[in-house]
Amino acid sequence: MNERRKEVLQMLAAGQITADEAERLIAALENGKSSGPAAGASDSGSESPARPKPKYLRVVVDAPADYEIGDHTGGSKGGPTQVNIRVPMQLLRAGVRLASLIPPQAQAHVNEALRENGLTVDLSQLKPENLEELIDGLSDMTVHVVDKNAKVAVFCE
Amino acid sequence: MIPLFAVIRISTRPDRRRFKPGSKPLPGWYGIWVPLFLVWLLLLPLVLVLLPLAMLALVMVRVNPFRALATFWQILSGLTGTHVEVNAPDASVLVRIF
Repeated sequence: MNERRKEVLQMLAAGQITADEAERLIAALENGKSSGPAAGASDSGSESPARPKPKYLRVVVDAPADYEIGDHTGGSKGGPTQVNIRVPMQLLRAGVRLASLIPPQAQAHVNEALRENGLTVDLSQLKPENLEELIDGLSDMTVHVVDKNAKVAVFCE
Repeated sequence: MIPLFAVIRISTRPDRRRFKPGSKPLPGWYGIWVPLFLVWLLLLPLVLVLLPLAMLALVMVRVNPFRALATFWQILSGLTGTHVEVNAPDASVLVRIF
């Protein structure tokens, strides 16, 4: 046990994990169960537990029968509407990589169009590693909207 | 791995029951299995012919053709596992790619 605790502390000292992650890892070691996440733990090759990366982005919409969809989309009233979408994270990753393939000539036009619409984003500054971080950040995202008309959930699994 | 099959099921009847993966099609459902691997095989000769032209075009617009091809392949591979299911009062649609 002491060896593992030492490994965690070494990872913390090397900057591979944050103090919070180290604390959770040590707590998990003390409890004898592997419940703590560590972003850099799996890279170090140690036996430390690591949270599995989510594979899918899920979008679930559940609108009960008394919700009149026709108000917005031209549909008709009369029954529940359910939407269940599962998008592989790999597809999202590949999709955002497309942004880095925009030709330089087109990037200027896109930047200008974005600026005109109030978005000061420079596409030339988008790097694949930034996009990876963006997608990885999605794994912690959970959106739950509970309304009298519908329930919407967006999460990763 | 690139997707090998796609399942498309459509129901225009007002059926409130949801499709359960692996189960038999519900009454009123019209489904089709699309053998994507056959589509890829059929498209392969065309791709081989068009690939040099596409690479040339990418080089002309100053885009790394290998990176573009890798991204395209990743998008194709990423489609595996896609599941879109919409159950509306008037119609239901299910698309699964695997």
